[in-house]
Amino acid sequence: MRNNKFISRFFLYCVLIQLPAVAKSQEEFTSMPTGRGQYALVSYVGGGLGMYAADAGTPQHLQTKLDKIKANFSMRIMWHPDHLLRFGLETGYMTFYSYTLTDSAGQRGKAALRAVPMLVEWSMALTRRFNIFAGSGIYLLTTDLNYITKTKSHKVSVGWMAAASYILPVSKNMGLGMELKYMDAAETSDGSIAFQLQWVWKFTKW
Amino acid sequence: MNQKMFIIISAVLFFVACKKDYQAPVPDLEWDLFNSSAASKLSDSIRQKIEGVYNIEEGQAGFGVASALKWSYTITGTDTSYFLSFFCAQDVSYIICEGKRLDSSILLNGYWRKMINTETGKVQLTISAENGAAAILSGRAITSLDTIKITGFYGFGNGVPGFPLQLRHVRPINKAKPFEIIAHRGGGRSSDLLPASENSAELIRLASKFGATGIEIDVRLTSDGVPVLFHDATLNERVIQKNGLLGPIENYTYAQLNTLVRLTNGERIPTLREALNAALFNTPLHYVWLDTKFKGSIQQVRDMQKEFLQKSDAMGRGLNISIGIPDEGVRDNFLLLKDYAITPAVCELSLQDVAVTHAGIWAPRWTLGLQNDEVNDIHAQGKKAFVWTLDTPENIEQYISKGNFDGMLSNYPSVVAYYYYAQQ
Amino acid sequence: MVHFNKHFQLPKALGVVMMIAFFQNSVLSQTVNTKHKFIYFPYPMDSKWRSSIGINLTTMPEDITEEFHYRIPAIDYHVNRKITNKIYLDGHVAVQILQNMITIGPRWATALSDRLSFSAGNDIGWWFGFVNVEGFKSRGNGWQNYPNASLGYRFQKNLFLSFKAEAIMNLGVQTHTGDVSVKSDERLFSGGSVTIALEQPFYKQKSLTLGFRAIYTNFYWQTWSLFENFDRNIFYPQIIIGLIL
Repeated sequence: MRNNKFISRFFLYCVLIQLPAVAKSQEEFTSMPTGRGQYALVSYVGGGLGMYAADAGTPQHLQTKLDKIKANFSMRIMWHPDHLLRFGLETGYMTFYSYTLTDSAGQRGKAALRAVPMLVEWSMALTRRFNIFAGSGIYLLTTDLNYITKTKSHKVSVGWMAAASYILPVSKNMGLGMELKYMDAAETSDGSIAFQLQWVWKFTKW
Repeated sequence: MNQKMFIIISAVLFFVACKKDYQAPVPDLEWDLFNSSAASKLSDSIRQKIEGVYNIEEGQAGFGVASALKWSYTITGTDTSYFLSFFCAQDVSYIICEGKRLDSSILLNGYWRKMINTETGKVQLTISAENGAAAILSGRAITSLDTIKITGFYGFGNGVPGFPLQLRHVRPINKAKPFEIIAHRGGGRSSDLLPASENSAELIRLASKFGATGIEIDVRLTSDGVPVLFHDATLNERVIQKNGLLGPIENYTYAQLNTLVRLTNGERIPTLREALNAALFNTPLHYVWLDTKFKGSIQQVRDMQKEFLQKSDAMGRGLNISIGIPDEGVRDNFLLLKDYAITPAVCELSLQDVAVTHAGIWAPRWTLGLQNDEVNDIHAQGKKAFVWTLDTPENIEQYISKGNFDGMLSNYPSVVAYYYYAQQ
Repeated sequence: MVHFNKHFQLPKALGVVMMIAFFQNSVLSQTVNTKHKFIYFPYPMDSKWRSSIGINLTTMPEDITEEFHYRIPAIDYHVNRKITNKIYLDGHVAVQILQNMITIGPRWATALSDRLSFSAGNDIGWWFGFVNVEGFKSRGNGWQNYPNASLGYRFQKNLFLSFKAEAIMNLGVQTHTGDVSVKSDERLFSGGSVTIALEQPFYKQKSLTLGFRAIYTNFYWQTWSLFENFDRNIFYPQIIIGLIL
């Protein structure tokens, strides 16, 4: 197990060291404005793992087993005008957390809290590769409950997000991004810190 | 100063601006003198003599210039506990005490609370022999020549009471015109930080201490048709402890709610039956307003209303229960009841809807004004008018002094009680 | 509040990369444009007028609107009028039709260094509202006072960051419901707010204000029609977006 960890880390170092070398051989993807009057649409598609960062609040009077680490996926389109500030939309799919439960009669159950964020976002390029994002909007929340019977229930919550990403250029219009983000559904006090790898593609320019 | 510092300051400011959690726990009521073996319970006749309107001679900064004192009780099994409530106008404050006799004095031990904020503290009061206890304990009637003075101290939090409080009896409480003081959501809202959660059986048992003579409770149906008490359309952290469950309460079965959901103070969501049992068997309340918050047939609620009205009659209890009609949908379902014409109901809609549904009570929103002409019309039909939901003390005073309503729904029944009982 | 599973750790290499990226200074060589556009940034005015139009969105707290955290928008118009070199008038209108707020007050602003600047001022505000639908026949109005101070930092590239702190003073709330009029005595020092605003060019010649205001008060004028009595400071987060004209 320790050897596998060492090997995967070594491989990651190699990838990170080599990528800039590859990119240098061509014009690089950059997060900064490319010139006055030049606009672009950029997509960010990514996935990764999130860790629930708030108080999960499982029923205290039952035996529960909490799972806070969940996969998440996001998709974002940003409009890059000819200045630093960008505007766009983000959506995705994530599970905040889930837990299994056992009541005093031995009956088992499971509950999961899932979300589809729909956010309006602003971002700024602080350097050619480093960006920060902040957004506000709604989270379409779903409870999946399986206890005695199955129940699926929905709620819309206001929410927000904040993120920082580092984009390694792959080509002139594409990059590989690493993003650390915090997603918060404010009405239900649910928050998750996620790390994602993203494919960044400047798919249209004018 | 550089860019990094500004990013850090921004982040700090952002996280500093966050929601504060407020609490108002009932203080620890330990008082050695009160709990000594020599202190004994007060009889009914003694208790009644203490009720009245009192001028506050010391402690006005905390509680205002006057207070109305009234007893209530809670029945738990075969035990009945009696509580003396002091209703004050200032900052919507009240004091709740238990009373005992110690030799020739009367001791009152309890706590005070301001409803507009979270201030609370202990209260320890005495009626000494020379200040009226001798007359009260003598068995004879109290006359205008008797002076009843309550003296003692109040404190903050669990601190030892050290601030003087003195009240002098000036007149009996007003009971001239019957007036229903109805506590919203069974006693108050969860945001009022009461000792129990809104729409819980536990809060219903406390409502009369806060000045209520009646309660309004919100009835919804689970997915398997069990009527339960719950105000909001969805499960949310305002009313329940966080558990990952959200969305309409109608999506969940009673078994799921009963096992997995706890209200903010830890109580279970009560069924309507449990709530009516609490109101009927554990309290002196004489009115229950069932605010119908669900779509569909209300036959089940009607059947339960009949059952508990009959139980109340059998006990000689005098509990009135009305089915609430808040909107046209519920009105239409109400009219589908075979016996709607004789079903006690409270209608929030127009006067015409009151006539169509044969509701015995019209309940307009207070924001439409006093509507004295309309209320007089209702009275001419032999019906009553309740107004909802007032919380601003200045408005409550105006509606009681200038209005003709027969009852008022409030999250602050104590201040309604003050203005009603202290009327001259 | 964040509990990391001890068996799950970010790869150290990625962690180092993130730290370097986060604290890297800007290296753009763009020179500062002399035609600065800002409305929140505390700085002596060059031109006679400055204005912006946009929206602000205030999220109502659970204590007030209970089940739903409504995000109530208001049209936001902001105008500055130069009086002298260092003094200008700041006027602000928030419009929700059924209820509206106007504030106006002087600002004294000065540059503390090449990048840092400061202003102090005091705004007087008046709000009014009327609701005449669905069980409501209410109107209300009130006066408020906002002593305030702002600190601004100008970055290299037309980027203006401002911090504004203000106290909220409640000078009385008057309400009328049907035939009943009541003047409520609210706490004089009703709370305060802190605003952080970032102003920069957005596209072509247009500049944008993006701001967040953390309001902490026991009476927020937009909630007058709910007749709440809570005497405790409650948090109202507000997002500000404005196009500088």
